[in-house]
Amino acid sequence: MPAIKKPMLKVIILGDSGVGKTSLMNQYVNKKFSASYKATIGADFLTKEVLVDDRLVTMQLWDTAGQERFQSLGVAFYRGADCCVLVYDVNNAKSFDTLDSWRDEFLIQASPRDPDSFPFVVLGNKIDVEEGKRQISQKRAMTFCQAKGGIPYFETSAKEAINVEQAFEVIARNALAQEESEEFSGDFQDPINIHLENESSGCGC
Amino acid sequence: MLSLNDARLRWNQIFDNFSSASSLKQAISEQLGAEDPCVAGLRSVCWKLFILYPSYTPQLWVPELRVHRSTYEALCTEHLTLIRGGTLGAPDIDPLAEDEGNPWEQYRLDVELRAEIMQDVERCMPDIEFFRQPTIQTKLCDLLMVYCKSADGKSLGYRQGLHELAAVLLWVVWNDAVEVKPPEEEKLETLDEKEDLMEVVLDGRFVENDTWALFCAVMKHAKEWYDAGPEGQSGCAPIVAKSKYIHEALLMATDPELAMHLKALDVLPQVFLIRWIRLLFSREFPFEDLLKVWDALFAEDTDLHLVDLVCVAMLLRIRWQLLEADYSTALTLVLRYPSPLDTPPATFVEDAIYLRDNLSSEGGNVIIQKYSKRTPSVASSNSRPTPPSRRRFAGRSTQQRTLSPSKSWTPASGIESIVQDVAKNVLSQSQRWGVNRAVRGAVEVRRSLAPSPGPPIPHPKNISSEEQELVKQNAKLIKRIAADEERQRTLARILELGMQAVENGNHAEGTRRLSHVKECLLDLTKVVNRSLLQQHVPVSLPGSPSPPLLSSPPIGTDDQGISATRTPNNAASGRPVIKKVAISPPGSFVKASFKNNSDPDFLSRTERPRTTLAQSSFAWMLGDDPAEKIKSSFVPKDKQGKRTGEAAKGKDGSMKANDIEDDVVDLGELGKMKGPL
Repeated sequence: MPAIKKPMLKVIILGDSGVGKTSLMNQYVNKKFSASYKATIGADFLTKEVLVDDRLVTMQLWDTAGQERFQSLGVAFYRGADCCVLVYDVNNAKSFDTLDSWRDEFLIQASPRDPDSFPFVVLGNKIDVEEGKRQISQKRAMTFCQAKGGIPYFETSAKEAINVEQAFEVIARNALAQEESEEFSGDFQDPINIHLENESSGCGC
Repeated sequence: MLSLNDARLRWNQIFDNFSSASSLKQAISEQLGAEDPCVAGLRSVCWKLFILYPSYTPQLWVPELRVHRSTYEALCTEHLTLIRGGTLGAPDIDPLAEDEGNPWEQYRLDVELRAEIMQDVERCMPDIEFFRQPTIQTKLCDLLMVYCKSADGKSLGYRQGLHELAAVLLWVVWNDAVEVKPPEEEKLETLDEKEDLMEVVLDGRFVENDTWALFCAVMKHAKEWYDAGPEGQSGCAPIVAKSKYIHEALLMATDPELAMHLKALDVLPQVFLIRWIRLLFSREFPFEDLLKVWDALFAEDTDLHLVDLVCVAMLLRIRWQLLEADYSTALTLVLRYPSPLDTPPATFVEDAIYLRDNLSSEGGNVIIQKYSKRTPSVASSNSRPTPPSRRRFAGRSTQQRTLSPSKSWTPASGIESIVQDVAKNVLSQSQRWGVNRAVRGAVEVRRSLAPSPGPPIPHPKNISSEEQELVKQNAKLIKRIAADEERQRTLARILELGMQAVENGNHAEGTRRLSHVKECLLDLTKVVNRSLLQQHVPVSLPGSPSPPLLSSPPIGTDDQGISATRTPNNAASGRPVIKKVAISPPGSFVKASFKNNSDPDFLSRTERPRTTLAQSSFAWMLGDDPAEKIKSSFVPKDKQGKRTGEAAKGKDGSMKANDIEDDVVDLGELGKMKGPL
């Protein structure tokens, strides 16, 4: 991407099958909810332009198949991500338990420069479902996020558009910060320049 | 479901009008509209004839049909009894015993599997009311479960997308089925009339059985599209290799401009092809159109090889939009494919058949022109039509990487910074580094060539000498990249061992390893000391002329070649020193296979042993490597020759001169490499 263009933020949404990744993305981008989204096969993609602190940025939102488990998209798909959104269903304990492995696997695949500071956001979705069905308490989720280095946590409902806008605002902000930090370090690490400099010396040591 | 009368009319429409399977297939390929045997006749019967029972005479295939039906019944009993609330064996079995034979354990697994399948079945084709019926959902779920638990699909298990393939088949079989009055069953044993045959074939009680049989037949070929690849390794799934092949070989052959454009945009082909292919295009077209695509596909090619070219045809149809598109627009186009308005999607199959017989940019142009009335610009068609690369770009075999130069490794000063920086990036970054150099070299060569018209797929025999040169140089670049990769892997391992040693308190040993890694990273010509790969490092005195570096075995296996390079320190003396240069073992870097590729020589040609570019007179292409520079540019040609001679003498003569001659690569590689720049 040419540097003059407005920043393009790559956001990847991960989580078990059926937790509502597609719904959240569509609620955020299209302000629509459908109770019957088809299972995502491979990946899907939507973009949205947003203002972050008066800066216009384009968010490139990648919805992924919950069952895919990184197997088919290949590492190239995850590289260059600026933020990773981990989604679980508050009414499904198993989808919460797998968050950790989603996070770990993402870091392996995307291999960000600094894994410890790479921005994640956790979304506990489907809070509109009746309280009795809830399996993961807010406290438990927040404890997890705290333990993972203070990941921002939101409880959302894609169906009723609760907290979706707020969550994605943080996602955009953190992604932009990540993108800028990557850009900064990237400028100093251009291998071609280094080698051109070395060329005249004739010595590689 | 059909009424008996309607079914009979349709049945006769097929068997009265078409005397053979080939005439039936012909009729479908001609897209007869209302006369189409899949529309006016019975689609389910046509599909069964195409993919399940190739013998056209019903009297011959009906016995097979019966076998299928009873097989399915048996499998249902075997695999569904438990979940349907059947007996769990003896009542005294402890439900919590973690015993493999414990039926309760199996029951728990079944419940999990069923829930997973049902989650997708419930949201399958939400626009079609048919699939909202609980009885239909149960059928779909049952047959998927039987598939996943029986021999056919056990190795695969349930994979998302299977539900949609099965759904289309179920819809088609159900729609053609007839309700058969039970007494008819008695007559089944003595079949001799057409009418009876029809009722047997379309018997509504066996909708699920017949769908399962069709599904298994489709899955025989579709299974590998769903295969996740080797455990724990990402990006190795066959579907990724297939997607790459479609992009870099098939599309490159038919429309190099478009292929390079997609490459330049960095649109990963698997991102959209996974869905196109796994679902056999079921999300890309309206349902009615989709059925016609399947009609044409099954009629033409029961092995489904044509699918690859259908994808190409779909890309060619939107090539003008794609060429104008930026990254986001291009992705939106392929992920929300604009269904053609004036031509039925079944024409994609027609195009694919044409491309199969005309796999060249001329063939591509014909298809492009046919629908857009525009021909690819003179510039693009005049430039070398890039042939299909039948050869993998070897350097990218196991890991994909970006060619972006912006995020690469830079020499760092201290061990700490090396550890921090390199530990994370040693593999990927230096691979990019190697690739960058290779790509730039290749592009320079390509630019220096004047465009000349040529045959669409030049065979090694009839290409010009200039092109042969290019081809050779390219081959060597690939070799060099592979050697680089091997070197980096070894370094990564040494680094890991070094860090372990430091963690274990063995600082001396750790520092030795880490500083060796550092030296190797700073000096690309430095030979990696493989003895450091062993847990206990042989002691060598610091400050000594480091004999292990020269005497230790080279990276890779014993049968590798050696080559002469000159270290910078020796450059001044003018005395070349023979050093061993890492060469990866034959074929080791060609890991991702194209085993699903229909071209048999595709794979065999990728597995040739290669020597490195550094060994050749084209080493200058690795221009930005200081040591290589010295070797290639600052040393007269005759000396290079001499060094090679020495190298050959130096050891077992394993540097094979004829490697260079017979290692011919298609020009497509260069085209591909040019893309991302």
